[in-house]
Amino acid sequence: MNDTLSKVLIVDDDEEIRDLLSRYLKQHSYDVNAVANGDEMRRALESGEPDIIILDLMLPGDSGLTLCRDLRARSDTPIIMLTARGDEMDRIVGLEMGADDYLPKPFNPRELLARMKVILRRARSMPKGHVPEQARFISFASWRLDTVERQLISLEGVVVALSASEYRLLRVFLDYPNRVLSRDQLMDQMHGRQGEAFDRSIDVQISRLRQRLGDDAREPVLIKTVRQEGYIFSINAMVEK
Amino acid sequence: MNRILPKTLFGRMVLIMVLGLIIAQVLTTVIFYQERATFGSRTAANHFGLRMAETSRIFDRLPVDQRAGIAEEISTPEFAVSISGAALGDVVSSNEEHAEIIARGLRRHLGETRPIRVAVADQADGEFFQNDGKTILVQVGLRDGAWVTFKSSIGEPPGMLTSPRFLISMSIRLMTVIVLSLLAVRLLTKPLQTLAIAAEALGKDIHRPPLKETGPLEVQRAAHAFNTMQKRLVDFIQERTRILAAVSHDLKTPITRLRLRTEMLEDPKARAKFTNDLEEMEAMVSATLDFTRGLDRKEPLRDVDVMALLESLQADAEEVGHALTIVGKTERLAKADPQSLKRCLMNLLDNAWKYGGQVRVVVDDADGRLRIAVRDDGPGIPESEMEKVFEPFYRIEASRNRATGGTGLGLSIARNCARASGGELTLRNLPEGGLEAALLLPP
Repeated sequence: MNDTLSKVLIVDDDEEIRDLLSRYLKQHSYDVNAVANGDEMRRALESGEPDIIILDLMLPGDSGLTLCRDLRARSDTPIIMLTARGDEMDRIVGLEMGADDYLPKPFNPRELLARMKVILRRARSMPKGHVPEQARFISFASWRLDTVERQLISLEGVVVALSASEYRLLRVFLDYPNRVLSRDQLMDQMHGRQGEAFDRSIDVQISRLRQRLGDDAREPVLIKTVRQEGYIFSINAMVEK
Repeated sequence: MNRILPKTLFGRMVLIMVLGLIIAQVLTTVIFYQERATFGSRTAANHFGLRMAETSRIFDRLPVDQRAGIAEEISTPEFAVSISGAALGDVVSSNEEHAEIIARGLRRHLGETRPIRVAVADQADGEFFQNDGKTILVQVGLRDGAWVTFKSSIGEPPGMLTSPRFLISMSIRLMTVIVLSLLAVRLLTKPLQTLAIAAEALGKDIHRPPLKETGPLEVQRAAHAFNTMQKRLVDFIQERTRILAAVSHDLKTPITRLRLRTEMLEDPKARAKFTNDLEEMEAMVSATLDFTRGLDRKEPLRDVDVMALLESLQADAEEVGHALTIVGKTERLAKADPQSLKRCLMNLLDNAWKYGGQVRVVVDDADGRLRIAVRDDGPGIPESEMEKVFEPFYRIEASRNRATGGTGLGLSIARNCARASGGELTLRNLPEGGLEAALLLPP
């Protein structure tokens, strides 16, 4: 896979899950360190920054949310939050505290691997220091994107649903506005999963998203085609705090 | 009995009150007229008694040859006077009581020694009084041994129960009673109706606002009892829901561990089987949690672009290899909770794909209501099971569902979701085969 092993820090108070997850990730060629709480996490961070942190939400002492906020304040190390609660509030708060992704227990281990891969690849392929927006609502043009319920809301308040890939594509554009993104970059960002069949080419997905956003395909305003290169999402996203 | 009684409480009340009024009225009238009649005959008896006594005394003084002429002179049709030498034969009195009253009156005026014979017949003579009455025959012995005979008729006042005046007054009273009972019954049955409506609404929405505890004391008490019952029901459901949610929730950590262990199994066959079982368990746990969460989800309704929602579901379906055809179109926005609506349609589509091969969504917005129907061409559902399939954890046929990995919650969740948007979900077998799950949304 990679020349150097990616370093993973697991923070989970359930000993069995910690051990199993460590073994599983080691099997998949990660350099794993597992700790049980916030204090141990801080000590582990002193001896070196990991490439990604897997953080359980329910921890004794400092909760996962507190740790997530503290971590975000000092670095942009990607964070995946795990929780057994799985209700919407956790997801909203988790994302707003700065987690890069969120996985409810019982998660599929392969799903975790796939998401780790996307996040690590994003961290590598995109310029350093860029932290994607984490707010629940992102406003752009005449739309507002609800990142928790994964739907668009028009100026008139009409809710427009998005398919999973439309949402992923739009998120990529919103995370990297006003920048030319190649088809490969878009594919990479959208689908980190291995072996998943995507019969729809990026161009078809783009045209669907344009249609959803009311962007005229012949004279697009939002998603413009850059000949030979890819696409550019040409508006500044405004974040609604 | 039940066939004679009116169906409504109102009908019964009116019947009882009108019957009561008629009975009371008839009794009163009868008693009143009887009293009046007795009083009338006493007065008449006294009046005639005095007249007879005076006449007898005058005849005592009159010379014998003048008596007959005078008798004729003073006779009137209602008071006939005649003179005879001897007493008449036996007269039969049919009303001894009345005769006795008259005899006593005469004795008071004429003294105890005077020979007196009184007979009263309970029928009128027919000349002066047309109706029922009495005929009084009285003989008084004169001092010289002759007898003077009086014959008089006392009438009763004309017809009491059939006179127009009586009928008019009776119908006015009946009308009053009917109008008053209508008001009284409205007053009584309105709280009952409110209760009935509330009970019906409770079946649809356990969280409906409580009844107002106002009005008469009995109504207040009933409303209070109803509200208490609702509160206990809610508490009961919430407790059960909490238990269900807690158990499902606690299963998450062991399932997570099992999934990790499974991934590390060497044997690919065993791994695949474990993974399948775990996926099934996880589906059940998350469906149960969805279900319990859905029970108290209260989101504001928003305008939802229905076609965009259907197209996004279609795109998601294509990604996992399911085909979906959308038939029809609507420009209308649905007033709904977007997540509930999506979940509802997703569950219906999942069912359709499980059992039904070719899956169509038919959109139709005729007559003001938005109708989204998910159709398959599977085997359908027996008519007797149509309602039962909405019950949580109900499975039509264990084998069929186990094979396809159903949780028995899909339709329950779908219906709860439909109701969260004020809609209704119904099932029917299509005449051409297959099942239709129709979601009706209010305008």
